[in-house]
Amino acid sequence: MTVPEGTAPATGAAGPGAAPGTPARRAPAPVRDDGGAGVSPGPPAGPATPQRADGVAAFEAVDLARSYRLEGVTVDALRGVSLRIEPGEFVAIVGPSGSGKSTLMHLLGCLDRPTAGTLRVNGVDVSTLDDGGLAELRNRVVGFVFQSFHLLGRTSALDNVALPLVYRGVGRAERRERARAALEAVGLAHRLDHRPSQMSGGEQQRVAIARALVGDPKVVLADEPTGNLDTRNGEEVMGILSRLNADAGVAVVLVTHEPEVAGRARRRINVRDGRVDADTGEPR
Amino acid sequence: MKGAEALRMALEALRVNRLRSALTMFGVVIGVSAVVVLVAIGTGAKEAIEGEIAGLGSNIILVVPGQVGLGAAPTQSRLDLGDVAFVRRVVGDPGKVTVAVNSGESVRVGRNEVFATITGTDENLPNIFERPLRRGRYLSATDVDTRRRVAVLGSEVADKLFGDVDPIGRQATIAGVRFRVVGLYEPVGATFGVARDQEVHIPVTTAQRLVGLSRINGIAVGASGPDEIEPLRQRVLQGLSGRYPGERFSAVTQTQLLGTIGSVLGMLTGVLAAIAGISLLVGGVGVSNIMLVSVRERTREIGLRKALGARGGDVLRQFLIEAVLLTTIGGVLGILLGVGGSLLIEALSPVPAAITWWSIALAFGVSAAVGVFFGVAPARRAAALDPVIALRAE
Repeated sequence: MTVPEGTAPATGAAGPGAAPGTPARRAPAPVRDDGGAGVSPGPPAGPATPQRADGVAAFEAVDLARSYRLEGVTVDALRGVSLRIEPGEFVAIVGPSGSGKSTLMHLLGCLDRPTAGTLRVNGVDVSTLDDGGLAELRNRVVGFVFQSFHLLGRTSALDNVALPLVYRGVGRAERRERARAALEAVGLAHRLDHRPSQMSGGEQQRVAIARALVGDPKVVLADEPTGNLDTRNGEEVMGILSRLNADAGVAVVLVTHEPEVAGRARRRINVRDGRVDADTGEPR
Repeated sequence: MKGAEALRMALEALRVNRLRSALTMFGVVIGVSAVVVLVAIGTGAKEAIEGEIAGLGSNIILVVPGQVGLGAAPTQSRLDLGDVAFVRRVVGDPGKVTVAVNSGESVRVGRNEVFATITGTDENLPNIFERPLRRGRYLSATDVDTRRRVAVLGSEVADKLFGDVDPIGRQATIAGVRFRVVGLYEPVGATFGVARDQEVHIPVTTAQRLVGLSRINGIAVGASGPDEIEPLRQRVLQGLSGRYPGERFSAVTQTQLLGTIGSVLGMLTGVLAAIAGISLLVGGVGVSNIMLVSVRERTREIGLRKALGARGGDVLRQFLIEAVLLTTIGGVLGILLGVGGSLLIEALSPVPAAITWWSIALAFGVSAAVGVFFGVAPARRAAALDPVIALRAE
């Protein structure tokens, strides 16, 4: 069997010359196995290392502002916030109530749009997206954990966790499988069919974390995740978030006013009067 | 989100609020079943009356003096047997023309007495009208020519006068005159409220003498086929107008009767359906109302779903499907109830009911449309919710 000359150069010629790992390298079809015919189609395209999104921040905000009009009065909740959060960071946003930290959180989570300034989430400028595009970002890039859990009351833990995948069009069997894995990851393998009302607050928040994780997000945004929990359960939830950050490399951004909670983050951003007051930065 | 997923979600939401869903559906159930039942009754009445007309016989033209129609004053007949002979010549087939002289008289057998419609007619009656005999014979030409006192009884008259006894050959006294029963008709039911089973047929000549009249009430002509009806009708009318200038005669065909009755009853059915449709509309308003309540109640849920990646369209579809499910499930139940009710009415009451497929299809289609129509506003409201505000809702 002869391999026509024309087929080999397509890979062969490019093979030796191209630097391995060049992003532009195209490897469309799987490398054809010639069944030992002896003709090597050149060096294989190397293990496709997951393209580390170097240079692409999880969040990049420039002069972000958000104002509301309430009965004719304009309230500036954010007055020009610039910050950059890299993938894998563990950040606490702290500040007194009314400081704008929740507004910032909503903007980062694509639940809301800025009135001025630029926000890039995972490299995408949110001002270029329509509402559907924002919904997709929320679905794929961000996982939310809320202070009040926000679980569907009459739905099992498993189905609660699987919910984000419903909006991604994932099939039922796969959804349940991934939801089960996520629940196992937060130590709730024995609570799959329990409803929120049958679980403690700590367990409910862990279900919520599993739900935030199930879609493999880049960032978990946690809004006062321990606010409704006692100390022990709060500790446990923070432990899970820390582990998640350390082991899976998921960036965690949490909003809190509890110093102990904020102390678990490596970086702390103080927000006051709608501005970044202090930013410890990522320790090197 | 896939359609099947949205459907499952909606079903789940309805299941969670079982009582409320059931009560909301109930409005639609009543509306839809009312449509099905009322249309069934209207259609049943129409079919029953049309059946009666068709049961008279085929291709019949009834010739009467004056004008026929609601509100027309009764006209004194000026037709007599000479005119019948004239119409026979016009028609050309004497066997296809018969005559009627009507009078209400009491009929007595022993101690039994009934009030019956005495119709003077002739031997041609069975050639034109559908009037099967159970026993004996029809009137003959000789009966008419010799003015015999013989009678053919309607089944109900015979039952009342003779009971189980075979009336053939027995005597009956009509208006004080003794007649011999020569025939007995099969029961044929009523036409236009005229109980034909309560008739007694005697020779027209005998009838004229009995009631002291030389006039007749009407002439019936049988056409040889549907296409012959109209030309024949024109010929008879023209002939009579020529014979009696300046007088009016009417020749009514079954088709005309069917057309008039049909349009009146069709209108009645339409009105009934419209009334039922209003109740369906009210049911739809109930659906809209409950969906608005549901959207308000589930504001936090909607906010959460949006935070997790639901698009406005996903939320819209979820609530719209819920509304449509409420009305279509209600619609199916209403159809079952309506069909069951119609069958029950048909079985237990004299009211005829004919279930029609179009009314079922219409009721279902309308209930689904009502769901879409009344579900859109609440669903749009849900879809438009701002997730930040929705998540904060109590």
